[in-house]
Amino acid sequence: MLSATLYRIRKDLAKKPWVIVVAILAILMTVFMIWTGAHAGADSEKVRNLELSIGAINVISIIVFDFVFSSGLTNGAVGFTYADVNFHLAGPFTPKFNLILASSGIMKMCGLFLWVLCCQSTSLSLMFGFRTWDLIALILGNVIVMCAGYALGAFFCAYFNDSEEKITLVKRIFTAVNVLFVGASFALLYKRCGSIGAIRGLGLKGIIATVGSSVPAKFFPVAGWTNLVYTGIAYNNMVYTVIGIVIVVALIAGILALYLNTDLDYYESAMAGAQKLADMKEAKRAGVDTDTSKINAKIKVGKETLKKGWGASAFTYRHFLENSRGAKLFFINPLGIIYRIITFGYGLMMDKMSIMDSPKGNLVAVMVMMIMLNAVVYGGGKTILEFNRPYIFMVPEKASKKLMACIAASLPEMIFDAILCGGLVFYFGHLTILDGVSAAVMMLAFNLLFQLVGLMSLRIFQSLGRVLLITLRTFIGYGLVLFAFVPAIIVFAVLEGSLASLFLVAAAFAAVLVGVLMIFAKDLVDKVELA
Amino acid sequence: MLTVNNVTKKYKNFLANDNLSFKIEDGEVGILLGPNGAGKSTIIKSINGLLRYNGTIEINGVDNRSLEAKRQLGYIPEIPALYDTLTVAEHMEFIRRAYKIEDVDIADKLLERFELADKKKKMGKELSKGMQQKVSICCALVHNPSVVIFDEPMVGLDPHAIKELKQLFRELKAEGKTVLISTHMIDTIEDYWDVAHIMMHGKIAATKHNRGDEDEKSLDELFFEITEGTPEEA
Repeated sequence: MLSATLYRIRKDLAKKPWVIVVAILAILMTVFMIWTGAHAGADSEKVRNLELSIGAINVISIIVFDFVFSSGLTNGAVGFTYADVNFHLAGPFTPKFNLILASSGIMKMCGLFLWVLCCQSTSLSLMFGFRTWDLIALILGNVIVMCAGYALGAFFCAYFNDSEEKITLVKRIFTAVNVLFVGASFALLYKRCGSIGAIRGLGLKGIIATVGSSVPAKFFPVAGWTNLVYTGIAYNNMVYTVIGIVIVVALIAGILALYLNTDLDYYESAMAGAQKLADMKEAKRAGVDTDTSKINAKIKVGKETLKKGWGASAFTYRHFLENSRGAKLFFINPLGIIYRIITFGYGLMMDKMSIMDSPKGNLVAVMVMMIMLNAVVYGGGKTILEFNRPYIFMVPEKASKKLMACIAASLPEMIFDAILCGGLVFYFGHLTILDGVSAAVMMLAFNLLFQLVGLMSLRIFQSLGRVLLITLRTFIGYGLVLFAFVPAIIVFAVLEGSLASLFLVAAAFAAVLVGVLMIFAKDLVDKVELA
Repeated sequence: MLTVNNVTKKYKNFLANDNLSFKIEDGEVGILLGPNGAGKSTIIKSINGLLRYNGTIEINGVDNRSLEAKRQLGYIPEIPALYDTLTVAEHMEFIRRAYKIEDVDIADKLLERFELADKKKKMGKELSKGMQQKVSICCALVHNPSVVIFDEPMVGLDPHAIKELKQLFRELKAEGKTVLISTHMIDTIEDYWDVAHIMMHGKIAATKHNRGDEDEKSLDELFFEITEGTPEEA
């Protein structure tokens, strides 16, 4: 079976040799990022704050553990394809061996996360003063945290597969551990500082350093135990190192023993997961790219129904209905909210840790983050997927009308998002209201631009496959945004314009690009190729 | 009436449809028969204006990509393209509104006929494949099209729905509508058809008219002769 799996991987790679090139590039980039990141940290801080570095590593690892454990607990037995069900689950192999197969997809996700972590090494070094060994310890430690965390979560998912109550109990215990950690950390901080005001006085870096290097953090499941090894090495404390190594070895042995000595019964949920995957694949083959987030989400019909729209506008109102049904908060895409929270957190870190020299520096950092994330949100949103179904092409209305109707469906979300972005820029950049409003207008134009780039890419480059398509459309989006910024920067620098003028000129150029793309997009709706 | 004239469709180096020409008159049921990969779905998609091709396709004498043609065309895709978070009733309502159909009762009648009346509030993703196919059929008929194209319509349907669908073919024919059905399931074809085109390697290998002539080869004899033997003899 192992040789068959390896043969499959080899055949896949032969079909897609570019995957090897991408992997090599990613590894080279990772090494480069760690190297530059470590140097950035060394330059920015002459005296090393070891407590901060160790604390930050611990806090990051705890967050990673929470994420992978809950992922394993929720999706443990999911990740099987129908081929796996037919040939592996029905074959003469143990459920334990078959569970390893399911972990391959999650391992890819973990790999991607570690890569993102490496890409952030410069920021991490600037923020926490990481040196090369800190970064290496962070990455190696997180490999163990991810594997062990996911394995534990997946084990509980498979073991308690027959009982929703038991799964809920595990979730409650998991939440309680986190609440306990937060409570203990707060108590520790309060004991050390004496008052809430004094805790605030520590600043974000001080809080991370104190909490991350505290006893509760050292004994936080998996993450704390793993980092105990490096804590010992960094502080020259053999006791910590030895305890850390013993616990990590015991943890790995314990997980192996759990898997080897327990009867696991997860085939039913594995088949349900495989069915979902098969449906998505089949739908995609028929030109229907399914919105996976909606498939997995528990969506209820509710009281609202389709009562508006006539001709092309029926598409707009149908999207409104679907958006409000799929969103947790009015019509807003949950992913959009997560990305805004990430931006806010990122801006807060930049601001409170004084990484950039000035509010202008924070402004640029927050702007770049927002633009990068919005290219993902609007480049591949649900509205784009409309163009993978036959109805948009078959309804007897002009292509331009149908196109406008679909784009209009995203406008409330885009406007809300632009206002939020304008607010963030206003807050972190310490700007005037006019600057904030101009930034919001610019983000609205960029969001429209990303959506049209997404649509064009989907129609023109569909044959490239999902990963390349996403990469391509994201980079085209970035390229066009940079293009729109060129005249804006000229106005700002040469003509000494205000920040508002910079944003508005960029918005105007983005609007021109939107107009040009609209003409091409209309043509693509008219001369469709829905393979 | 559906007219396909010299339609050729290439995917890179693969010739999916090679200079296809055929005509289905008003009140006729045409069948496109052929094994998997014969090019049936490609020509069906081209007729529905979902692919670019060389040649001409006309719906009641007008280009198939014109708004006029789209108004008269109904299409049931091989795999139902439903919206996950829309209910069955909302699918019907959406299509009715998109096609600007004033008659609000037509949706209910269709749902009743295909035993979907009790599933009105179910979302697309909650339905079985067969149910989704039935909804897809209902959606294609909401605007009362004069040319109806079915791509593998029987796949996934239960016996009752298949019986109902066959009855529907007969009714559409009786109403003077043009019907084109693509299928590889030869045993599901009964007496309702008028003309059958057997496809192989992107071409029409043989055409047979249903005249009830007992001296002629039966449709399945002809089909197996072509797909397993000598196409030229047909």
